[in-house]
Amino acid sequence: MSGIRELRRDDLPAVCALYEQVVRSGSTEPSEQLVRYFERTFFDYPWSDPDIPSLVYTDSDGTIGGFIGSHVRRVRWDNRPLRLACSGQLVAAPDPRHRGAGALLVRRYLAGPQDITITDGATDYMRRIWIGLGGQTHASASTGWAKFLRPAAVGGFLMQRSGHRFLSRSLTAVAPAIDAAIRPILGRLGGFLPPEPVTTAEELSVDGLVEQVSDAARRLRLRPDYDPKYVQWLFEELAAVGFRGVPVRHLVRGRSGKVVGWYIYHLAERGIAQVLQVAAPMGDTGAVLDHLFRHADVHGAAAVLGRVEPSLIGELRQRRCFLVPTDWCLVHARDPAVLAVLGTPQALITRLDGEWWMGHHSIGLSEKRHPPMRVST
Amino acid sequence: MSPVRAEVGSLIVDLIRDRLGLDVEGPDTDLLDSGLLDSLALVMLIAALEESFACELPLDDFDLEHFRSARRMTEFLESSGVLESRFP
Repeated sequence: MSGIRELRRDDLPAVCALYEQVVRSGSTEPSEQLVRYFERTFFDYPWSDPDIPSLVYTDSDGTIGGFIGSHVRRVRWDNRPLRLACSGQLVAAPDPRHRGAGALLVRRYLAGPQDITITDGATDYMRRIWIGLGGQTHASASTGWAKFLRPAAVGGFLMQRSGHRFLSRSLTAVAPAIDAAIRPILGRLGGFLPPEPVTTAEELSVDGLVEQVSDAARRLRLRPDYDPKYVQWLFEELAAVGFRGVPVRHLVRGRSGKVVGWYIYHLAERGIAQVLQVAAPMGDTGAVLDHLFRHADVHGAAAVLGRVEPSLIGELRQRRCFLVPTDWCLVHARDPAVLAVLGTPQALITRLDGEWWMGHHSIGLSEKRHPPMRVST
Repeated sequence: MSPVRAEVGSLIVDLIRDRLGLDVEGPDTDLLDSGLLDSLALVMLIAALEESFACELPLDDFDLEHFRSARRMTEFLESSGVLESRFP
């Protein structure tokens, strides 16, 4: 009898082989790094929850024909602890007899004991499956924003992504000169290039993030329930995801020295910076964004990308950010009140709290690693 | 085949045609090997069966083989006791 059961540690070689074959290199020999990565992100991470395990679909002979990764986060809703399950890697063996296994795994995962289930890197196809299973689209978080700092460099990046190698190489070669000519004009237009910030920044420590989110509890109805052990793990994993660049974590202070907020993002020199979390619980979101944009600009980023959190939308518009497509963010919860809060500025559930940032597809692939760079505050 | 089975099989064929928009010839059309039943179609089919037969299909012991054809689905619903309540 085939069916669905929880992932066991001794399943990892078979699961990694399937993942390597379907999602990564096509080989059925997974790298040792991938096996270790799955082990530490599924079993050995601080918030691993045996009630909400990763799942495998097995054939009648025990062969694994699919699996879904589970990444559990802890959140608080009106100070009540909730479990948020991130539906992660989903893979089904490519043969026809396993064609529906992915949907069965998602269906089983959504029926788990968690209060909220999310996925923040979903495709159109997965969105339709989730909707069919009672999930919803988190509209704002499914919309991306972009702050363009070096438009020609962005053009080169887009050419590269769309497979136009020659055009990409040519444009990348001349991009610095084009951008050098364009940027003074953008600067004169106002709002396009980030001004010198009136704030200062220091590195956001593990304890600093725990303290800031805890202090913000009075203003946030739904927030992560960070603890030092989890945040330490989180920061180490952010650093391990090398292909997006260098993780930057800043605590931002106003002129008086008082904390106004913080941000965490991946900085890629002459590339795309990806924002994971921006927070300003006291309301000075603009000051935090200004510092972030300036920091990315000074360090050579071509553009800063993020997803539209309800607390950011007004400030993004003032700073000439553009709305751009991004991955779908899908949510499922039995209590509609939780879903209602998710779409408001009273919720701080960001990309940092999902699984979008994780490096399942890049771990151990050296060609995908961003070269090292020096980053200052 | 019993009249109940034939009626259920016919109902499932209609569900597959109407709700999934799949062109199936009859209750023995193989949905898996033909590639007609992908993940999205399966989700829609499960929802349609649960709605039409007022039942909840199992979560864990869920064998894709039960969905190979309309006839296999009928047998599965019968063995699960779903048909007893609808066709006593």
